[in-house]
Amino acid sequence: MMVFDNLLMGFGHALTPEILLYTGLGTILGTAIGVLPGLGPSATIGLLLPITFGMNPLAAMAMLCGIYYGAQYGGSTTSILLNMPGESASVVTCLDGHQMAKKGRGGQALGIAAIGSFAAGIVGTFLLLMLGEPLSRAAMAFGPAEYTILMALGLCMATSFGGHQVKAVIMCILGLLIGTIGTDSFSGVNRFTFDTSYLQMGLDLVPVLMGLFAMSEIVSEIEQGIMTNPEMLAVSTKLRNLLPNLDDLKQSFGPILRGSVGGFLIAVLPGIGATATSFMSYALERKVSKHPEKFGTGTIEGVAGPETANNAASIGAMVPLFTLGIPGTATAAILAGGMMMYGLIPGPLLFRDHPDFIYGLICTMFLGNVMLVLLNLPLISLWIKMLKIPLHFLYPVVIGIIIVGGYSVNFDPLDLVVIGVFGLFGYLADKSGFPTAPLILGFFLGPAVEANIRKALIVGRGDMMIFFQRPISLVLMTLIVLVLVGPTVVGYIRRKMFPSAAAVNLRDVER
Amino acid sequence: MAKRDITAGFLFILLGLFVGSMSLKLGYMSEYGPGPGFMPFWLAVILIGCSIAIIIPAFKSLRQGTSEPVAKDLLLFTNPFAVFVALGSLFLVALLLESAGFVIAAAIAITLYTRLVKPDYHWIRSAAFGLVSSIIIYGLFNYVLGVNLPRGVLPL
Repeated sequence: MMVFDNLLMGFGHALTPEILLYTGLGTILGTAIGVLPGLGPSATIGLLLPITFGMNPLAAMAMLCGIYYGAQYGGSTTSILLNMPGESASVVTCLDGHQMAKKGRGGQALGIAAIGSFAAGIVGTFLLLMLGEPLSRAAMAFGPAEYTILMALGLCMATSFGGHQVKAVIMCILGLLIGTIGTDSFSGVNRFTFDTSYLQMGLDLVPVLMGLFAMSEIVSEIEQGIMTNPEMLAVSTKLRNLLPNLDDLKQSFGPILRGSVGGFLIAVLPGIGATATSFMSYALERKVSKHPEKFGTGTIEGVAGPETANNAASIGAMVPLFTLGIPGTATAAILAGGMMMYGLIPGPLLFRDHPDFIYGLICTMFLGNVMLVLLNLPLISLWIKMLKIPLHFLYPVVIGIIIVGGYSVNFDPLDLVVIGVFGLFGYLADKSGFPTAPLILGFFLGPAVEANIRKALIVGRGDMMIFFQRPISLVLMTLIVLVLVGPTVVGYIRRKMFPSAAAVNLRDVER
Repeated sequence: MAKRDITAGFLFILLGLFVGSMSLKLGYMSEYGPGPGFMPFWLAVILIGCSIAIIIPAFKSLRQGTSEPVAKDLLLFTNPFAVFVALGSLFLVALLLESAGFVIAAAIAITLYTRLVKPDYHWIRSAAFGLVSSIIIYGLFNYVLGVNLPRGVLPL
């Protein structure tokens, strides 16, 4: 009954012209950036964050979340038509989606991706609604020691999926170190500020992520000179040709169901984002299929499962953020940064102190997913046309927006220097196989990790055993050990099952 | 790739040593518990440990000749001029933004980027595109979205 009341309250806040407008804008923008190569959802949300300062927090977050899950849908269009994922979570969709397009079934592939994304959005939102409050109530019992271990678990998970684990740990450590720059809140001592007033407040999240994600990507693309629009396979954009037939729907029912629930539940664990979830879904569908040999040749289950799972994961990733204050992915960290700028602290108190905001936001996700399917299928021809926008117009304009976004954070031109420095660092890191997402997570969580470690040690009078005394700590510690061993197993499975996925760009997994 | 891992590893070790020494100066422990240098010290220790963990296998693979060659798209600075201009123009904007104003600073950056992305585009056309798009961005953000951008020398 309580859930029903909360749902009604949420819809009461979400069903206003202003919120609906920004939710729709977010989903359209998200789909567009998912379709266009280059900028991912993290960079786009980071770019738009500063201009949402003056907005109603619910409208701003509805738009930013819409960008996040809209991008998961948009990424499938380029995967299917061009064999080029617009977004890292759609990498695995290339395997069967593009093969379907080659066989003249691109419309059905796009259609089932939309239907799967819609189902995932609805199921995911419902699960978020059901799990959010009980989890946040449980999290209130956590002390600083449990929080420290929980955040350590999140960071370990973030370093475990997507590439070289030691390199990911290094990036996470660098993020934590960057988070220590500024005045220490416990002692008032300036750390690593080099006597500059600019660094006393610490570095801001937005310029750092704009540099790491947007600038480095643009520099890399410009250097490689890949500025010609790719050739795409022809696809009929008439609505009736996009709708899968009854046979397709029957075959996709199981993958969509498993992708919705499984994708959401896996992404609830901090650190596992939409990309890893879509790969897991593909592996599962191939395993349960009566015809696993058909995977990779254009089977609809190979599109329905991962496309559903990545959308469910984008909503599942909100659970640790909203209930524990721990973002599981880089994009969630940016959303968390946004919430803090609006004066809302992500974490267990959110459900208690700001129920109007949180339930309103959950309801906008529900409405956003309805909008996605209603807008996107009829607008498919528009997305295809967008792929024809000359890239030599697109990138320079993005630079203009980066300048506005970077400057308007603090109205300080030095933030642009920070973007440039992190742009260079991101470029070098990307080319050397160092993933940048763990750095953002480390940077965001750094101050909270340090504060909780120090509080726990003060409570425990310096005794490290404080981190092992309560059962929940022991459970979390066990999970950390599993997480540190897990990637070896997952890596083995991925190499064995997806040799062809190596052909697709996997370097920027989980941006 | 092994050589690059070794270089990165040594750079991170140097950074770890620097942070470690600085953190000891900040104070490892304080009167009430861990001091301001506590966290950076342990982070520096882990950073050095992880750096060694990437250097050792890289050295081994170099010695055994099993190091993977760097993929073409991962080559560093294949076009150093493009990287220099792409990042340098941002520093130029930082320098000019408040004195010359957003429109002029952004127009210069967009012009440079347009030339970088499409070198066969004429300078005048690139500059025109830069100016028009920076005016549109200024108008959109300043007047529609209410973001106060520096006007500078232009009477906007």
